[in-house]
Amino acid sequence: MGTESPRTNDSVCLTNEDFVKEETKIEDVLNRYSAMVYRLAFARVKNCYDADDILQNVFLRYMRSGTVFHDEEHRKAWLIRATINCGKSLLTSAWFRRISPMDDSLYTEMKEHSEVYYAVMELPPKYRTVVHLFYFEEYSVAEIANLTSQKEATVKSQLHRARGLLREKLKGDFDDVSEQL
Amino acid sequence: MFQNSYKADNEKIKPDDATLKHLAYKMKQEKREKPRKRRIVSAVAVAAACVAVVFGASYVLSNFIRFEPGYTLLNTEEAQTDVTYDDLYNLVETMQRNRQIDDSGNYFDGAVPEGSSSGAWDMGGDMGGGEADFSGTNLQVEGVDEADIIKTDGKYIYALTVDDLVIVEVNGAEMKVQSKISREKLSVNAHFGGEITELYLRGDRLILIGQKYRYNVYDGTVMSEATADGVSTHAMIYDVSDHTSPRFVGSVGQSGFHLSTRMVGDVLYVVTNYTIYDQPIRRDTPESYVPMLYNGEDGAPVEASEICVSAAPQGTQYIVLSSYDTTNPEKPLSSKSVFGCGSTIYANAENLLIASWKMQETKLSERETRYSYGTNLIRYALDNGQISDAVFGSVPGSLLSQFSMDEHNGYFRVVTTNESYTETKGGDSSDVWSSASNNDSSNALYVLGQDLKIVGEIENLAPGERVYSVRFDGDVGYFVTFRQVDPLFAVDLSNAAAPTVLSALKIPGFSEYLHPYSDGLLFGFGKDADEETGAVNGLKLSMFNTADLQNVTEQHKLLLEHSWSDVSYNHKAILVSPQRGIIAFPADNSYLIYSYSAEKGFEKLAELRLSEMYYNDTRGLYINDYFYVFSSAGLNVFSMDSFELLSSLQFE
Repeated sequence: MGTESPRTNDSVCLTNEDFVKEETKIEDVLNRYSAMVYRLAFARVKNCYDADDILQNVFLRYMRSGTVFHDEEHRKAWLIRATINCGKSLLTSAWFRRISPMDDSLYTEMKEHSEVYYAVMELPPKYRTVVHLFYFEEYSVAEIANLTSQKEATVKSQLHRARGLLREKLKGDFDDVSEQL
Repeated sequence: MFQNSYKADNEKIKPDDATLKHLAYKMKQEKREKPRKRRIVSAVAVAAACVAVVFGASYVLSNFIRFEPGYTLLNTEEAQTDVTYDDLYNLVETMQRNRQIDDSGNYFDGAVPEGSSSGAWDMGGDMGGGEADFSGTNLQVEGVDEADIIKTDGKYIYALTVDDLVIVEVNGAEMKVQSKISREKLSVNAHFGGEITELYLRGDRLILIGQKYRYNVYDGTVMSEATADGVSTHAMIYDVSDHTSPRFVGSVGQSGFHLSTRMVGDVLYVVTNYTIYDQPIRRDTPESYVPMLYNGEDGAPVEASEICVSAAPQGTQYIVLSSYDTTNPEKPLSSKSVFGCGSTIYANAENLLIASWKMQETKLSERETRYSYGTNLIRYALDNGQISDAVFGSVPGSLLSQFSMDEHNGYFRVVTTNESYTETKGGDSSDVWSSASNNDSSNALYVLGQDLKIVGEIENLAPGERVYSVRFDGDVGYFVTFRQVDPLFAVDLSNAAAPTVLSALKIPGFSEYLHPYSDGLLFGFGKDADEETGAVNGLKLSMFNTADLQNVTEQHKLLLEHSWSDVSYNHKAILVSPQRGIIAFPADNSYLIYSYSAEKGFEKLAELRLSEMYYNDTRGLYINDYFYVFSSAGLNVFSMDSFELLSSLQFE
């Protein structure tokens, strides 16, 4: 039967080299995905404090999860789902709050106004998530349904309504928010 | 352009460096302190591997030994009913590993949404009655209630807005809010967070259906509670005899996200899909790989004797079906679960059918494989809250939605679209390609007995097209297929062994929702499309004359300026009342009320522009001579004589 043991996430750091490799992997993951997680969280909670909270929670959970990722898409989907779930379990429910003050942090995050971003921020919370996943992360409706544990029809209808609301707000330059699904 | 601008804005949003440095530090700490828990699991897996190698010796290995105690269950032709927790653990573990090794497994075969409104059943319609004449939820099956965001008993309207549950006392044009409770407060044990999606009303009791999300931070030791993807579905029961102050009575629930619920009398049936992703599982902790049933906060895993494994499981997911007595909600009356299955469900008062797709492969030659779809069926009989054991069957092709299935007079009828294609692989080790060709599609109808064996069929209907809507009405079945032009087929089902096509009416566009209006009339709600290109033009109302089934005609039609409606996805969004001669539904940003008469066809009675931004669904209902239009913004009431707007109530 041999001494071959199944792959685990628990790499054995036997040498200094291994140790450095492990540390680099962490930097790598953060470099690749910290902004993604932060932006998705921010789209929901609209302030940097809660977004930071979610960011930390997600990556610590990532370290503890014991999942072996077989490719980057898998890792990415895991992180997105964790961000959404993490946001939901936050006690402050900034995640669910429909109205929240567009506080100063938003102004400092972006040097200049963009009416597009503000328009999206005024959408109801669940719509912001699907709009972000669709337009920024460029996931399909089916993938978004999977990530958010909703039915495809629900996602389609959220996107459709979001577009309708955005078109109303963004007359002129940006009303090309299209029907393409 | 919107997308470019949104992307550019987002680029400017990012976490600051200090936060990231600190996070990196914490993550490295985690890494160093992580206990060697997995080592123990590895030893067990290695031992199991010895056993598996003996059984699985003929299986080709990839990079390293594939551990498959669950292998024998993965490729079965038939469903397995006598499974133990151990079997399930092996299955889940194997499938998790397969996903990690070569992506050969799925998590989730894609739940077909409930509520795609190609209405398939005996007309349910109005459940209202009593002294007041009021409309009810647009039901699919008479006597089988479905949850919705709004219910009325003729005196009060109970509804869910985006933020709250509101209870409004209505008396003609007078409306008064009795209570308004935020959804957050209603979610029991708010430390989990959650959301209520819809409700039922039974006399003085309100039954709220919602989902809860729970995410335990894995604290580095053995998991104390199953989390899976952390979703569970619950029914929370409130006593509303005092309308100003609803009182919480109790809650029951089960793992998984909400697929469907039904109520027959006081018995609530809940069907969920519980998917296991990549979280660690432990053989001795069934809670980590088996769905849970909850009474309030206490949970217990579904008994292994109530779980069966579908033929050739497609994903690490369970369908969980439970029945609860809402007058005494403690634990389920009965509970069953199927592993590996998809999630299209048909339910009436006596039966529940679960369908899942399967891929069939036929090797044509070394490089060519023909793929086609089939549907596995599982049937449970329902009897006063008791759920029977499963019966298994299958049909070729795949279903459009739950509406593609129906039961009548002891027979099940199923409409499928059969699509197949040939995949050709080529190239060498440095450049592999594959292409699909010879796409074929056709449609079929199957009649099955109670044992799910096929007794009658019509195949090869409308080749090259797909089914868009289906509706069964006793001995007749209607369905619509579409490519550019929509044939509406009428099928005679009176002889189960020999269903026959009676007529095929070809018209441009297609119906997405069919609803019998009266004897000899069938209402269709759908879209108009260009005959040449198939491009969709806008919404369309049709009334089909079905008096002579061999010669069905489109008696009236009306093209609307509006282009999108919730009705296409949710049959509960439309009110069709032949008794009052009205058809009402939301479209784009309005709510529309039409009348229908044989002489004049469709005429618009009223259009309410919902200029407020509305976030949730819109519904219309009537009580006596008043028509109420509900949205998250408030209630508007119209006179049913003149259809003038009488008054409005804002929920602020």
